[in-house]
Amino acid sequence: MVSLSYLGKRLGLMVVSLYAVITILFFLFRILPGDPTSRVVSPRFSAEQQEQLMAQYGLDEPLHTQYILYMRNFAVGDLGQSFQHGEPVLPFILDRTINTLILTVPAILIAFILGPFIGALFAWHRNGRLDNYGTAIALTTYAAPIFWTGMIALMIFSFTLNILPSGGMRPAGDVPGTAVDRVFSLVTWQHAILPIVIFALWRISRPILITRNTMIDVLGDDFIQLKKAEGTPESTIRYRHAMRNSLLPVVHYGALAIGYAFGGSVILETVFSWPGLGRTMWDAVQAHDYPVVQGAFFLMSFMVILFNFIADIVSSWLDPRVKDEGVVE
Amino acid sequence: MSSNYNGVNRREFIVGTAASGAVVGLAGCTGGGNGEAPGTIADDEDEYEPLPEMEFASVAQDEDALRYEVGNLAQRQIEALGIRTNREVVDVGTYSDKLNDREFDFMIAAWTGGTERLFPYYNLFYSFHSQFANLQGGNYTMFESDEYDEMVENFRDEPNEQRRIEYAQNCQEILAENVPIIFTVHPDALVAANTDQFTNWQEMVGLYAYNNIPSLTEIESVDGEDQVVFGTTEALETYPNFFNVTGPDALRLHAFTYDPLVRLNLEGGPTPAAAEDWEWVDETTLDVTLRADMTFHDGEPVTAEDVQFTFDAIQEQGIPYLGSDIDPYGSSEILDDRTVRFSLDNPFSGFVQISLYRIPIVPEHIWSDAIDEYDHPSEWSDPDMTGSGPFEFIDYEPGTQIVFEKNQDHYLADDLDFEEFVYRIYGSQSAIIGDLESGDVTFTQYMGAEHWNQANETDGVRAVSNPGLDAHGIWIPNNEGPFRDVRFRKALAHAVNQQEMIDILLQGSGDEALHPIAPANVRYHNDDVQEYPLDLDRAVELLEDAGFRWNESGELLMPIDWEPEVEYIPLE
Repeated sequence: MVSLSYLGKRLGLMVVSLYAVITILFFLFRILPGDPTSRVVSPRFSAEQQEQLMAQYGLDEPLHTQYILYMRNFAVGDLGQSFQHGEPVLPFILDRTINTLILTVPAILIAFILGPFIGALFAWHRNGRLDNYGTAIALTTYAAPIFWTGMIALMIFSFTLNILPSGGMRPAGDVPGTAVDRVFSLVTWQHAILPIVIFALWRISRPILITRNTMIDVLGDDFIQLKKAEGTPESTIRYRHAMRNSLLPVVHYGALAIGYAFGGSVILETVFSWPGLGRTMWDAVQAHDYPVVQGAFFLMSFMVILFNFIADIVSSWLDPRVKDEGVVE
Repeated sequence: MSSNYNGVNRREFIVGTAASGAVVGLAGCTGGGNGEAPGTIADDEDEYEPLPEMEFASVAQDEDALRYEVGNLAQRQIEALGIRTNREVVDVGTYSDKLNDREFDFMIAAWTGGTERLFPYYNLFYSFHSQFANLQGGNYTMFESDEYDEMVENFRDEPNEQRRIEYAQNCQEILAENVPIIFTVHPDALVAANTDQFTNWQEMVGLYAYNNIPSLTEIESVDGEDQVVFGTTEALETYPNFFNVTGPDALRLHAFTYDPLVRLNLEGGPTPAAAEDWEWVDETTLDVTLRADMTFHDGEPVTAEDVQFTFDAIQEQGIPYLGSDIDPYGSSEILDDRTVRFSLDNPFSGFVQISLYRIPIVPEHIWSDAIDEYDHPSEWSDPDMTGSGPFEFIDYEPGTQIVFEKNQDHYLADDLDFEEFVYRIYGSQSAIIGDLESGDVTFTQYMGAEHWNQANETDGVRAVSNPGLDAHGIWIPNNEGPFRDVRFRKALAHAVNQQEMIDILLQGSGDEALHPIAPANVRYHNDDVQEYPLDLDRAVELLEDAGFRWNESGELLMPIDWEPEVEYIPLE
């Protein structure tokens, strides 16, 4: 059972973290050199015209006034309007988050469902050929940069074989429907196959390696020997007893991975021209589009903090030692 | 100046950077006063002091690969004179702060070349007239000359084209003689188009070779292809609200949905658009007659009131990006349903080619309500995009695409041999090239040399190295330290190896720059000006003339209490 005081303490910490994130975000972008007008530095801009532009963005107010306004708006869920395209930030980034989740959720599911089984298999055949080659391949997929594997995949499947689209969520000119339309559209999934596979390939190595390493320890435990002596079938020992007892760190890591999944991957989304949150954030950073950057960073931080919280709660429920020691390894 | 020149991407510098990196590395050991003295060694070093170490700044490679690499090469070349520099790589924000606050010694910068720059008002006036030589003003190098001011004002005011060209050419001569900026290169614009889908591609001069209405009216569909896809990595500066426009890419798209009074033809000359005709009454009065029977996409007629409303609204509400275009506009008067009389505050010979081209006509019946409703019409987050232009706005998905459909009632409808235009934003150039070859992209621009070479070798793709109007250079503070002497600036110009930049960084696609007007601007470019070929001996001679010497380790020395003797060289 998770005690209420532990829950309360973790919840309190979460709120403090969020407040800190929101405040840091505000100051972070304002202490950086330049402002939204720096992109349009031009000899013909007079000082008045620059001031006019700053006023248009609300950046002419003193910093403390901006901060108070910002916190007040944040409290009511108003994250402002994008400087670049004028849309209200919150619905915009939530929409982009859905695009990101279309890639990351399947990739993470593939990684965290298949990964432990593969890891268990490697551990069972420890130091055998399967383990040696398999571990090497898993390490390679982890080390290979996504922009490289992504480009190779595009070259083969899009440009050479011409069997999969090269990027975006739909063909040029197709007007997007609602988020629901997009999620249930075959065209979307056709466009998503390559990025999902590439992302899953990169993601899968951690659950494989974590399961493998933990399971090697578990396999040395007495109860495994006992099960063998009992004549329990090998696959039952492997998956039902050994793997299950090796899953705790994978669960913890998995919860964190879901948190990070909301942010997507700037590189993946750039290579595949995917309009997700990661690429949106990158574009906004380059354009000094403060409201969108703040909103995107906030959403990503919120999800990471939230899933950290969930991971801690789930871990402490699965393994009560956690709440005393505060860590799971 | 714009920060978004992306003519060269990271990868094609593998060869170039390897070479320049190695050389810069070597320069670190030998240049900046650690090698042999290039000129006369000071007799008495006590009478001299070394020049302070100077900052050599450019934006980062991610922001603009070409400017970054020009910075690396130019730093090494200038250090050969014994000038100590430290390389500073900055983000765009710091870059603009440094320019605006005049806190730089050497700054790699550039003018990008939209077609309207064929009328070289922008490059000549804002960057060099002394009225902008103040903090935040556009004359970042603080070059000041009464002679130049008068000449460039004459150019601005002169209605007679031949005389105007002469004034502009004199301006170029003054700039070349006085070197307020060390001009480096005019890169070509590398563009490519798929010829399996459309033929008869004709390039407009400058950066936007195909992304313009005149080029698009020329292309002919093959096998009934009815969609044109422009593949680009450039996310638009601000879009879709016209009153919020802050950059050239967005303004260009506004000219798809809204008709300006005038368009520029492939050679850059003004041709009728919403205006059927125009006539100067005197040097500050212009009568413009609207084309008959034009309607907005919602069927409302385009009237003289809409024209007057547009110019008044921009003037009253303010669109900083169009500030200089609207500046000369004083007021307008409606003479009849189709005729507007513009009265300018001061003579401005570029009013037709610049102002009337850049300012599109927006419908009064849509925007007058927005002006009443919002503090500023740019706050309308979901604006009604009804215009009268050749394309109707269908959808904008930020970071992804903008979709336009042909306006069947437009006077250009019969000339446009396709139904849909898509501005498709990609994450990477490589994907664009792949799609250009497979036919998912119809044309692209802002290509790097490596991708351009790849496209050039592909059947069914037309790759063109289009002479550009961009001008690159090294901005220097003309009012500070040794930079005050023209001979010092000339010496720097002689030390810069432009051909090396063209060969290595542009892989041959570009021209050496003499001043801010590129040779592609055939009408205005003056090539009969002082040139500065790579000549270190001449550079040393000029520096010695100006009183500079070197110490034993090759470091440039300046006489204590040195004052410049030649601050300006007038026209002969």
